[in-house]
Amino acid sequence: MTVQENIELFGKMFNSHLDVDDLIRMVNLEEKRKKLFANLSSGLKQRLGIAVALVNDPEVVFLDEPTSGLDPKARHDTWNAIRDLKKEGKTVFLTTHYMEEAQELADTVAIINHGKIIAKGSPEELIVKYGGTGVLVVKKVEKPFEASYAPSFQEWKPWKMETSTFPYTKKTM
Amino acid sequence: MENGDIYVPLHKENDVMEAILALGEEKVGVKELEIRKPSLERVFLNLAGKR
Repeated sequence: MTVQENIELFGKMFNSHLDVDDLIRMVNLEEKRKKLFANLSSGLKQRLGIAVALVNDPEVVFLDEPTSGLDPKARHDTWNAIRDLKKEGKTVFLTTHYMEEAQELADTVAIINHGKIIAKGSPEELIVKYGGTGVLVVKKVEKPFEASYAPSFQEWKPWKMETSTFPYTKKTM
Repeated sequence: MENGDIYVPLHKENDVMEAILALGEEKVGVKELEIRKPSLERVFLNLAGKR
């Protein structure tokens, strides 16, 4: 089935449904509407999934790991589609293992560990409360600069260099 | 210290400058500096690690 046929099929399951053209436009699949589902990339399949989830114009949309296994471009495209849902006034429940994704998209985050919610709040609140401090990470050179290949300032006496190694100076003193 | 790298917790605005000056005084050769801000990833690790 094509993109368009998929959306039409799911639309027929509801008494009233959104216009197929509107849905295709909403998830930016206009150029792919005649493409077979099997020939779509993973990211486009996810976008089609979002269109199908919206077919009966729900107030609340559940998206279960919508960007799992997607490449960065497809992930960002899906994020944009989810941002558009927010702009439309939909409530989106999104489950994800990617904390970056939650930080980017969510107004409220619930962190679940071993089946229990262990923290809830806006990303900013959670970061302030549980994120700890910032950290300066210092990667050291294997040997200190001085010891490895340069003399210390005290040892560096260019006026004692030979003219052969320092051709633009006059004869050394 | 971790993998030979030095981790300096940042509590105040001036901590970065103080840390860099201290590295200079100790003659530590620095290849790279990175400031890691707290993130939701860190929140999860801090909370999930507390089990």
